[in-house]
Parts: sequence; C-alpha cells; structure tokens
Amino acid sequence: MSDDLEHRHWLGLARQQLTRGDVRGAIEILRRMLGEMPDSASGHALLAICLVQQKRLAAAEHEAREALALEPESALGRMSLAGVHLARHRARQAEALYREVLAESQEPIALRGLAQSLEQQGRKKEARAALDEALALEPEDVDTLVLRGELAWRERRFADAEADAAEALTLEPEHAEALILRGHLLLRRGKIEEAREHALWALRSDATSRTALVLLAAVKARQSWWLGLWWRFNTFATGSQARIMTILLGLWVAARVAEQIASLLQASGAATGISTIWLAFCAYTWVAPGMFRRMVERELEPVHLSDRY
Amino acid sequence: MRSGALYQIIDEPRPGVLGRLVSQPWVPLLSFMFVGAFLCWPWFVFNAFALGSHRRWRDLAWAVAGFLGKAALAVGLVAIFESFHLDHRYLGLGRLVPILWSLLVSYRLYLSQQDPAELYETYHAPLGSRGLLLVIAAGITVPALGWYSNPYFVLFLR
Repeated sequence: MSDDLEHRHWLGLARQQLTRGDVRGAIEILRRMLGEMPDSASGHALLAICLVQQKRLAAAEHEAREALALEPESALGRMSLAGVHLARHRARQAEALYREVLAESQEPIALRGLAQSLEQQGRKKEARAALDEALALEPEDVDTLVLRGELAWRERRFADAEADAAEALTLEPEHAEALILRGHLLLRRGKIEEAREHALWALRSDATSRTALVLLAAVKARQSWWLGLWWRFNTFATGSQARIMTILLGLWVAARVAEQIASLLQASGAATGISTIWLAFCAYTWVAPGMFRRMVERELEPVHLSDRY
Repeated sequence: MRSGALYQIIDEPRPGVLGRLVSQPWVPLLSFMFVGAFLCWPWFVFNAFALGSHRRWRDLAWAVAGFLGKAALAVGLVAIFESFHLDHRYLGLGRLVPILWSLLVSYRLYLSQQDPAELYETYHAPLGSRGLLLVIAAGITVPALGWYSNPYFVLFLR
C-alpha cells in the first residue's frame, strides 16, 4: 500500500469509529497513524475533534494548532480549532474560524458550528438562520435537524422541537441524538417510561453517549426524589466538578460561620443543630452519588448494543 | 502500519519507575481530612511526578503556594488580633480563613490529578486504593504523638 493510500485508509477508519461513537477506538487508530506519519495535518485535526469529545481540551487545542501549523489552509484544521474554541466558550474566535471556512465553501458542518457559536453569544435568531441555511443545502441532514430541534427546545419552542425530532427520526430511526431530544421532550410532558425507553434506545446506538446518560439520569431523578436531589444539585452546578467543589466549600464556610456565631451568642442548641445538619449533608453528598450511579448502572445492565455500534 | 510506534498525546501521563506507587487522587485527599496538609500536599506532588502528569509543575507550585499561603494567613491572623486587640473569642471565626485556604488547595490538587489518573488507568493499569493503610496509620500515629496539641503545627502544617 502506498503511503497516501495507507494514510487515507487509516483516516477513513478513524472517521468510521468516530461516526459510530467509539471515540476511544478512533483515538487509538490516530495514535498509531500519527506514530508513523507525524506530519499528517488531517490526522492531528481529527485527533483534536476526538479529544474535544473527551473534554481533553488542552490536548485538543495542541493538536488543532499542530494541524494548522502543518497545513495553514486546512478546512478540517480550522474547524477542529473552532470546535476547541466552542468547547472553551470562546464563541467569537470559533465564529471567525467557521466564517473563514464558509467563505471558501458552504458546508452544512461549518454552518452547524457557526450556529453553535452564535447561540453561545446569545444571537439565537442568527443561529436559527444558519441552521435553516444548512438545511436548505442538505434538507435531509439529520445532524442539522437535531441541532435545530435542540435549539428550539432550549428556546422553549417545544412544537418546533417536536417537529424536528420527528423528522430526524423518520429519516434515521436510530439516530442517538434525535432519540435523546425526543426523550427530553417526552420527559417534559411527564411520559417518564417512554423517555426512559428513548434513553436506552439511544444507548444501544451509542454506548458512550454522555447526553443519553444525562437523559437516563434525569429520568431516574424523576423516579426517586431522594436521589433526585443529588441530580438537581449536579444539574445546578452544570456537572462541572470545579463548580461543585466551589459550591460545597461555600456551603462549608456558611455552616461554619453560622456555627461560630451561634457559639458566640451562647446558643449551644443552635450550634449543635447546625453541626448535625452539616453532618447529614456531608453523609448525603458522600453516599448519594454512588447510589445514584448504581441505580443508573442497574438500568444499563440489560441494554444490548446495536449491531451497528 | 510498519512499526508499533505510538504517537503520544500531550496530556497522556508518562509514568517513571515510581509509577507503581501512585495512588488514586482521593487517597491523598482523604489524608488531608484525617491527618493534614503536611501529608496530603507532598503526597499529591509525589503522585504528579510519579504519574508523569503534564500538570506536575503546576501541582508542585500549588503545594508550595499552599504552605506559604497558610503560613502567611496564620501570621496575618495573629498580627490582626494582636494589633487591633480583638477579643480572642473571635479567633474561631478568624481560623476559618487558613482552613478554607487549605481546603481550596487540597481540592485544587485533587481536581488537577483526576484527569491524569483516569488516563493512566486507560493506558497503563488500574490505580486501586494504594496508600490507604498509610492514611490509617498516620491518622492513628499523629494524634498519639500529640502533634495536634502544638499550635504551630496546627497553624502551619495541619
């Protein structure tokens, strides 16, 4: 096999893994490929896209910049760097890169990225227009339909979101993100069992889908208010561990200050009460995440992966 | 592929000979809760270097800043109480500041080591809960030695 053919073969294989949702598999292929061909700009760019999905943003940025250093005009390189900017909430830088790509060719994938960067800046109308433009180019592009549906869902235009989810699922009944969007819409309407089925169905298509797990966790939180409290706390902290730690430390300070003030005022009963509440809260935050995870894991046990995965 | 050469991603841990002594980040964090910063922060630094974490120098900087900050806050607190002749009944409130600083540094180090530890487990071997016995032993020995009754130890190292 010639070097060029081999290069394309490995890139194709990595893309295939990525499309199937096997990010780790794609990374392994790219690591092997780049071990042999370290000057492959497409390899570095694709690796950056995979790393963004794993939230390894420093490494992703390094790879995207490496791709652009090797091939400054590479559209894939620019889109991979734009993806990193998006993940780091640097929406303006992402927008500039997507616009550069779109100036050369109108691609739905770049329009989708542009829409996401516009939405991050609160320019929702323009984001919608970009998605409409992408759909005008490729009316049956399921990824764009789902993205437009998700935008409508976040804007609380539920009828539009339902319509896009339904169309996406007609075109591709096992599209994981479309199933998840439909699941969230069902959950909102109180159809918990159907939402659960959609989450499990999405996990059959993509076992590593974080968003499917989020949907499943949201379903389980509705079923158990006690463990649901932990889930709501997590959602409030938007799943960021640093934010959770900050909130917990803030609560600790508040509890200790209240306890000290109660002691200074010689209200020993109040001080003991605060200590007890704090202890109960600590026990809850120690035990609840594990119990909640086990509950979700039990739910996942009977899930059989689809043959496509 | 002609050879088995693997490309190394910058955030991948590069463990050295001490790699087999690395523990899960929650173990040193536990040592902070049961023993103190004097065991926890150097342990995090050891973990970072043994793991070959890409954040090892930053972790070292945090640990050094942790001890310096703790000392500065403790000295500052005593100075404020002495110069303004504040009632020592309020010392309990003031002591929360260095404790909060210690908690911040410990959690910062813990969060910083979570990703490298996870990657280490992906590419190398499971870390398990090595070092737990050390935490238990230190948790028993240190109070028995009476270190906690030394106010300087409590202020600067606990």
